[in-house]
Amino acid sequence: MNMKKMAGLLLAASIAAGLSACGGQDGNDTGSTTADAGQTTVARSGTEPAMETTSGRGETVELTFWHSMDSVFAEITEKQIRLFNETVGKEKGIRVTGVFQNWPGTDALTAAMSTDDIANMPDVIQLYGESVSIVRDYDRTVWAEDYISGADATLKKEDLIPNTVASHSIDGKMVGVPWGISALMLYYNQDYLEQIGSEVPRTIDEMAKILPELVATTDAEYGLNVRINEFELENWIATQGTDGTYFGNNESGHAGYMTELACDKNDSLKKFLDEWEKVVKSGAYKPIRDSINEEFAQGMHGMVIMTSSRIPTIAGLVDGSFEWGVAPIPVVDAADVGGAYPSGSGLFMLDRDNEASKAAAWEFVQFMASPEAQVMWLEGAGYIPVNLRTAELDEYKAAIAAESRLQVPYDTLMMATEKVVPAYVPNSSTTDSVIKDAMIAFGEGSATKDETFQAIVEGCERAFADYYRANPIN
Amino acid sequence: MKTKKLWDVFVQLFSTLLALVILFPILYAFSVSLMEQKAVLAKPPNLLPPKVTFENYVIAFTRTTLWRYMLNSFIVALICSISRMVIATMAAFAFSFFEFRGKWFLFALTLSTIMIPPDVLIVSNFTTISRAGLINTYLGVCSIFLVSATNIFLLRQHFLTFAKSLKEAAYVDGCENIRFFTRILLPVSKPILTTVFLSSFVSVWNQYVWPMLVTNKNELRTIQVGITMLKDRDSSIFGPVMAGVIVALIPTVLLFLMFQRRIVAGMMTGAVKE
Repeated sequence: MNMKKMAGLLLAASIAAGLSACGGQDGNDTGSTTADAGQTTVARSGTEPAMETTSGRGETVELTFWHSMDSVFAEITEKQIRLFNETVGKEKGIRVTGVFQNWPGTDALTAAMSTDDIANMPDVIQLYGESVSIVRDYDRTVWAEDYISGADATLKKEDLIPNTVASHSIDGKMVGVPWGISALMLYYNQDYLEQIGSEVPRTIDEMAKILPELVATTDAEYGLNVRINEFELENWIATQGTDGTYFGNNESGHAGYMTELACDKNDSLKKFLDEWEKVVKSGAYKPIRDSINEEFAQGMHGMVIMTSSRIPTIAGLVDGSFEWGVAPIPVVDAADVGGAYPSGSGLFMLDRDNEASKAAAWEFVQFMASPEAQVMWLEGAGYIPVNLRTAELDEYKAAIAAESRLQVPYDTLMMATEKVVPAYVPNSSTTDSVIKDAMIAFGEGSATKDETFQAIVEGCERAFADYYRANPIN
Repeated sequence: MKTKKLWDVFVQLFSTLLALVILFPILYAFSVSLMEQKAVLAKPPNLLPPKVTFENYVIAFTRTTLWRYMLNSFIVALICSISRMVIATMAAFAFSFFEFRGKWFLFALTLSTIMIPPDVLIVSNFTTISRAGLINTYLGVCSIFLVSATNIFLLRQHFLTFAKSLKEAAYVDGCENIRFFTRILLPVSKPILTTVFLSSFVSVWNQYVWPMLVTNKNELRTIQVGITMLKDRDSSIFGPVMAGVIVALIPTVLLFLMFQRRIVAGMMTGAVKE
């Protein structure tokens, strides 16, 4: 009996030991310097951060980079990380490990933030615009402005596409660095347009006029397919006026907090809905989204509106079966500035109480925004290189020669002003649903223009009120 | 006689049809895993691949470390299934064969945990695991799956079908509780234990949110997390995702095939209490 008890206890102990041991090298180590003592980090001035990253003993600084890239985007991200580790990383004693976090990449971060669990936080994290509100007031956020303005920085603001800098700035200071950027584009079936003898429409009015013709004359089932979410609506608001319009107050959250809509007060929402009504009334518009890529590639739609990151996907699906192109989205008014705002994600640094890691994180972020890293996006991702010097590279020229449509999104961003920026919308998931539901109802004809306007304004106001009740501004 | 034969044929045909309907999603997923991207959403739709390709499986295995994720899932599911079985059998034994103060209260408390949605507890569980230093460990991933009140209830109901007089007779013959439990009760309960084990295994195998939260190292991720890395947010790239799904299904399907007879027997036990 005693033997049995002993055996049982031993078995239980060995299982317990096995469970606690089976966790990899160090269960809580997600990236740290191997030594903090004796590091040779030096501040050049009282206000400039230290730039040297290796410890005095030449040990490697380990960084963790959380991203939510999947598919071909993940492959390119890993390639960028590998190149950094083999070049700048090797030279400066930094090694970066990329870790996938499911889109939008904030679940694990918010869980770690709630417990201030810095051991399980990343050094660098990829965040989309709608997630910036999580980090903008967080004490451990390391503002890119502190580094990019430094004399030692190899990356400068003027190296980047202007409105990508504005998109990642709050009160004129950069909180993150743009990294995976795309633009909303109009994809058109060139063959269909030629069949009806039309040019690519520049305004919504021009587009509405040709939609019935496309359906009547060509094999298209719909002249246009686009589901208008917050992303699409913001673009049409932001690109109005001669130099852009703000979607929300306080410069759409870039100069203080966005607490209310501005587009209902500056008439931009009304103007857009007035023009969009023409599209709805054409009878050739599909307001919902099914398999938009495949449907366009099969010739089901004359035009679709979606992100430029899908250019390589569409090229693969169409595979030469018809001529197609991309262009800036049609503007509300012919006098509007047009273009698009830079959508996508940036890189944000976190302070894990380690100066060497912070300096190393900046080196990594600079590299990821460099021409050498940014040109890799053209290898199948369709993102827009944010660094202006990317265009000088042979790889860039070769990529554009192979797929000239990839130049259009870049030109589209360059034609927009610094006021054409995405909004830092609080409670973004709720406002997105409000806008989507209202615009689908409008598109299907079950809501009038005025009802849609009211639904969007009131729904967003409620969403903001709910958000600031739970997250009061100090 | 003739009517009975016709009826039998009808029942067989109906059952076959029903089985096909139930199996259709899995069969279609397998078919999509062998299709080229263009064929997946072609019009008219293709039920079978016009041209079979294994490219999707190549992408699934090269884009992610699917084997490692499967191993992690297997380890986690196995540990949790065994733990659930051990704890549930012992708890059910106590609840069904013993009388002690607070028994009903404890049983009600156990059942009440079924009514709490797991998502409500995720942040507090993460806080606990994080403070215990169990992030990026198998124990951290397994921690919230080691016990299941449903299994305790299921086994308790099964054990109640045994006459108490059986235990009393065993006691008179010098059989202590632990011996009765291991030598008489458990061997007779193999079907239900198999059911508990398999249902726990599948349930833990399919977990996604918790393993994603408590691991931030690629080598500790589970298969369900790995499959999400195959999708493309910018297009409906079903081929590699379906290939990953089919690969993820293999272990659970094999387990079911191995133990299918015992599952059916286990499901019927506990239906009648004597």
